Amino acid sequence: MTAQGPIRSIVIVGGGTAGWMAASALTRVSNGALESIRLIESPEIGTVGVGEATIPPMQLFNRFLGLDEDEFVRKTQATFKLGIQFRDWARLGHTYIHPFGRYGADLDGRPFHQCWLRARALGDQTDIGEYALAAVAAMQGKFSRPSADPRALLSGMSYAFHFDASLYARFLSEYARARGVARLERKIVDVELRGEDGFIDALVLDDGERVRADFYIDCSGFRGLLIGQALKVGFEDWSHWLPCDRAAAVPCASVEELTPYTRSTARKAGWQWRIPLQHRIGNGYVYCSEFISDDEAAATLLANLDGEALAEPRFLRFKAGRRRAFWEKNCVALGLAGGFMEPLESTSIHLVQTGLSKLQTLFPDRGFDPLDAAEFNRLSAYEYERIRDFIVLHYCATERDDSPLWNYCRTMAIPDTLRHKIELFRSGGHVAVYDEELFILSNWLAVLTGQFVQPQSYDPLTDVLDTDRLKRHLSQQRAAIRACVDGLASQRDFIARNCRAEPPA
Amino acid sequence: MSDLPSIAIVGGGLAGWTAAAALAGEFKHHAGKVSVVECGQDEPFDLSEEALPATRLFLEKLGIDEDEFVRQTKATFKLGTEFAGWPAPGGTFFQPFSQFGTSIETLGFHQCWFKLRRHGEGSPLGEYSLAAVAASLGRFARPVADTSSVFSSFSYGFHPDRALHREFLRRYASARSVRANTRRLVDVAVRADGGGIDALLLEGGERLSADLYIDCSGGAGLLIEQALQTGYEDWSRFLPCDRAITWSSSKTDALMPHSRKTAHEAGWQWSVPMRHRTGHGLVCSSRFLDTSDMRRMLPENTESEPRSTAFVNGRRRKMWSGNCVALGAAAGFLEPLEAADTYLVQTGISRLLRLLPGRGHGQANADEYNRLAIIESEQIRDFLILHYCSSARRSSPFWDYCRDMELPDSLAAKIEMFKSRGRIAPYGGEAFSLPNWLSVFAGMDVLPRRYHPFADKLGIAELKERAEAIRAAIRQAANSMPDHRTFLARIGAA
Ligand SMILES: Cc1cc2nc3c(=O)[nH]c(=O)nc-3n(C[C@H](O)[C@H](O)[C@H](O)COP(=O)(O)OP(=O)(O)OC[C@H]3O[C@@H](n4cnc5c(N)ncnc54)[C@H](O)[C@@H]3O)c2cc1C
Ligand SMILES: Cc1cc2nc3c(=O)[nH]c(=O)nc-3n(C[C@H](O)[C@H](O)[C@H](O)COP(=O)(O)OP(=O)(O)OC[C@H]3O[C@@H](n4cnc5c(N)ncnc54)[C@H](O)[C@@H]3O)c2cc1C
Repeated sequence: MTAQGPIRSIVIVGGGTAGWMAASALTRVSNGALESIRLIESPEIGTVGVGEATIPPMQLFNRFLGLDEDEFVRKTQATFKLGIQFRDWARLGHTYIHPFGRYGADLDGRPFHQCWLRARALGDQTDIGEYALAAVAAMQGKFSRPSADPRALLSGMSYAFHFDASLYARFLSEYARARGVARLERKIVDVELRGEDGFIDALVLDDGERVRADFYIDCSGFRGLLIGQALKVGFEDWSHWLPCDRAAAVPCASVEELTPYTRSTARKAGWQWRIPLQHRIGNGYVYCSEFISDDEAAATLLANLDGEALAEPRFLRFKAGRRRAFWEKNCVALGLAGGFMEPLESTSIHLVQTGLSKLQTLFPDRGFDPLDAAEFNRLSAYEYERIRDFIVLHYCATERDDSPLWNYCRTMAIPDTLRHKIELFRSGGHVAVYDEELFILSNWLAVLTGQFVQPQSYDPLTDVLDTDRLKRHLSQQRAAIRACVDGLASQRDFIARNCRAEPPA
Repeated sequence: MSDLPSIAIVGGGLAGWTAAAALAGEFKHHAGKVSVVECGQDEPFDLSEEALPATRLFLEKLGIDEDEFVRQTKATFKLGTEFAGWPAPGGTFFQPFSQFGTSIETLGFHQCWFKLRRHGEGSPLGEYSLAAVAASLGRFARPVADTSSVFSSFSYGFHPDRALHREFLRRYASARSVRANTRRLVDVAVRADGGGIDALLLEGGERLSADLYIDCSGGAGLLIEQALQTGYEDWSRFLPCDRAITWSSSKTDALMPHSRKTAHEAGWQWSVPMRHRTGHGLVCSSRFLDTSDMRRMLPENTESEPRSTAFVNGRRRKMWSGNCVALGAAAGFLEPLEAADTYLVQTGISRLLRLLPGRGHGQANADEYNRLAIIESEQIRDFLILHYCSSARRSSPFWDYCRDMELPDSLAAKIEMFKSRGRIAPYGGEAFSLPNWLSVFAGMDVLPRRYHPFADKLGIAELKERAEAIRAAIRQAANSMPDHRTFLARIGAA
């Protein structure tokens, strides 16, 4: 027997960032086509409460919901993010920035980075970051939204946000509830499956009530209450490529000018993040428990804060990898229930967003054609793997040999897809971009060059370019970017003028 | 010191001169780096002559004025292809270079159309395509850039005379320092270390060496196959046609802005309008029709002497091997059902220019080139197979075979997904995208079992009204375009 007809009801399990993003997006896309959307969250269990840095497509999500960006910034104590600064990753003492947006302009049809590589071969010493508007602005603490005039250099500005994850969840919860999503603040104690096909039949709450829906979205976090515990979907473990398995997180007082970028500092057994918000700075040490104790990690973290710690460090445990299936029977897993990759490139919230967009495209009916799930799983797995490769690159392309973690990462076997990219870049500075990949040429360039993957040659067609012209082209680009950034306000002023948040109560 | 490699192209067909022209554009201040070896004794074979919209980009990159190209190659414009007799004898559909409709309430138009069809409403899909409607009216105008205008919803290609097209590119390249060498290639010296080709030996004893060799010698693959023995992946179990006979007629009165491909009992037949003549061809599978029967299918008196050729659909196992890159028929062959061969030469040479190796490096570049080239040709292969396997034609062994044949997994999955919910997953590669696949599915009367559930946000009456408004706007836009011949005259291509 197969059921017929449209999905009438959805239950979302979990009220973290993922759950409320799902609730908000679903009210928006279904726009009356669904009879009910309910969300269950347990105040007792709580959310991970971290996850504060994002990437530029986040703007699209907010716009899709119709949110006013300044209001969103005020309500979530957000700041603007122009990129990530990586310290001590390639070698101790070395710093580079992975900026949003692109590098300089092409010359006579030759890609910019090939022009830059040729100039390097001619003795030019300029850093590639000098050709990225976002990088230069970030280092000077400046910020502006892009210009609408496509001819202006400033139109190439690209940005994301740092925000308080719990405030964002609260903000979205207000949004979704105002549009008819019902919230149940209860704990799920059991999941009942249908005998005939193993589909989820009902969720049993702590007071014995049974909640039923046609379709379930599992946003229950690491535990994967539905997808893992009830439906028994296994986990593909990637810890041999990404061995960090714990984090200690602590907020501290803000002491200096707000930096419009995330900082990631490589440490002996992992790395530390620094994410400035309007009311505080978020910090955390992501580490590999095989190489350092929790106490030592916490001590390292506390010794490296900009201001006074505002709480005791919180410890989190995780494993890198993904569910073997994200959509199984009548359940889709989003957020931490679907998989985890460390927040080195701030991709988790983004994966919730793209998961929702795929769900919109492949929205099922009660017949639950297995092809929908298969397609969703194929696309999601592929997306996870491409991002995984990008994160692994940060670890494997290093000169560091000062600790067991770095010795492991420097010499570990890496995925073939990543090896091909590295070899192609080494050979002639070309960047292979796989189909539909989140991170594109400029992102890979930033990290490949930043982590000393050295091309042995460059595109020979740049030899056709006249040397003086090439040099002039490069110096003009640098000058134009400097002039543009000189004219920008500091992020502090920008926020004060447009979107200053109230100090928290 | 310049690291620019020297390049020898073998073959002076359309592929060879397309490659030479693209290289000439890049190597302009470096005379003598690029040479073309052509023996010049084979008269160019009169093939069907079609170029996809990507040709415009290719011309633009070379700084070639498109009107000049149309004038000199006696071309007409191409808004798509009419497929007659493919769904079933008597049935016809049009494959336009165009979008269908516009999305309604964030939902793709096709999903709304599926719902309309399910309720017995709406017009045939082609009515929602500006290119299809304009083509049926014999009208043509160029699209506009403003994406809010209905006139931005389509694109176009060309029907250039093949020999004139090649001559045009030859002149372009020769004026920019490409050297033509008209001596016959008699032998190829291969490096003992497996690194590829050492030198080309030409008639009269000349020895030509280069850093990189481009094999455009046609199906024989003088370098890539005969010298380097790269191997060929045969696709004839999916695409069984393997013979063609071509001829041309001087009749050009209709001057339609599209070509026509008509299915017959063991293959298909084309006619392509150019300004000075119409090109014709008959494509068959020799497994299902022997040559004498094929001859019998020709019209009573063809104006030009019909010429036959044999081919095997498939691709070279590697398009880039060692220091040799194959383009055109040397790299693989796909029957000209969707005119993709010129396209593959254009994208191939652009890809090579992007991945051109410095001296002494290149294995990773070759791997990347092959990775992309294989994806591209397999996607086009799948698209061509769709024309055969989804047809409802019966009662001839050829079409029975096509209906029952085993399909490549990638295509089987794509068809299954479409039949389930009308989804056409992006395939990467740009040659054929959603509208192309959609028009073949819809043209063959393959419709999905269900449409997107969110199409139920709108009632059928409202949906019908919205679709009708789109249809009317397109019809009106098409009617406002000039006649194709008038447009040609206006750009001096009478
Ligand atoms: C150390 C760390 C740093 C991170 N940094 C970033 C970052 O910078 N950028 C980024 O994009 N992402 C980051 N992430 C990831 C990000 O935090 C998560 O993707 C995001 O918060 C989504 O979490 P979630 O909603 O899936 O799960 P959670 O926040 O864990 O929410 C789970 C929800 O399920 C509910 N629940 C669980 N069990 C039950 C039950 N039995 N009954 C009822 N309700 C239940 C809980 O009440 C809770 O509401 C980071 C993650 C970690 C671990
Ligand atoms: C029936 C048919 C119709 C087609 N229709 C279309 C279409 O409409 N659109 C499309 O895009 N494609 C079409 N194609 C495919 C396309 O035309 C072929 O792929 C194309 O002919 C290949 O061109 P080429 O330049 O690679 O090879 P060729 O045109 O075969 O050129 C080979 C060149 O190599 C030279 N050469 C060979 N041997 C030597 C030697 N020993 N020494 C020196 N030089 C040598 C020859 O003189 C010649 O100049 C069609 C193919 C067929 C069979």
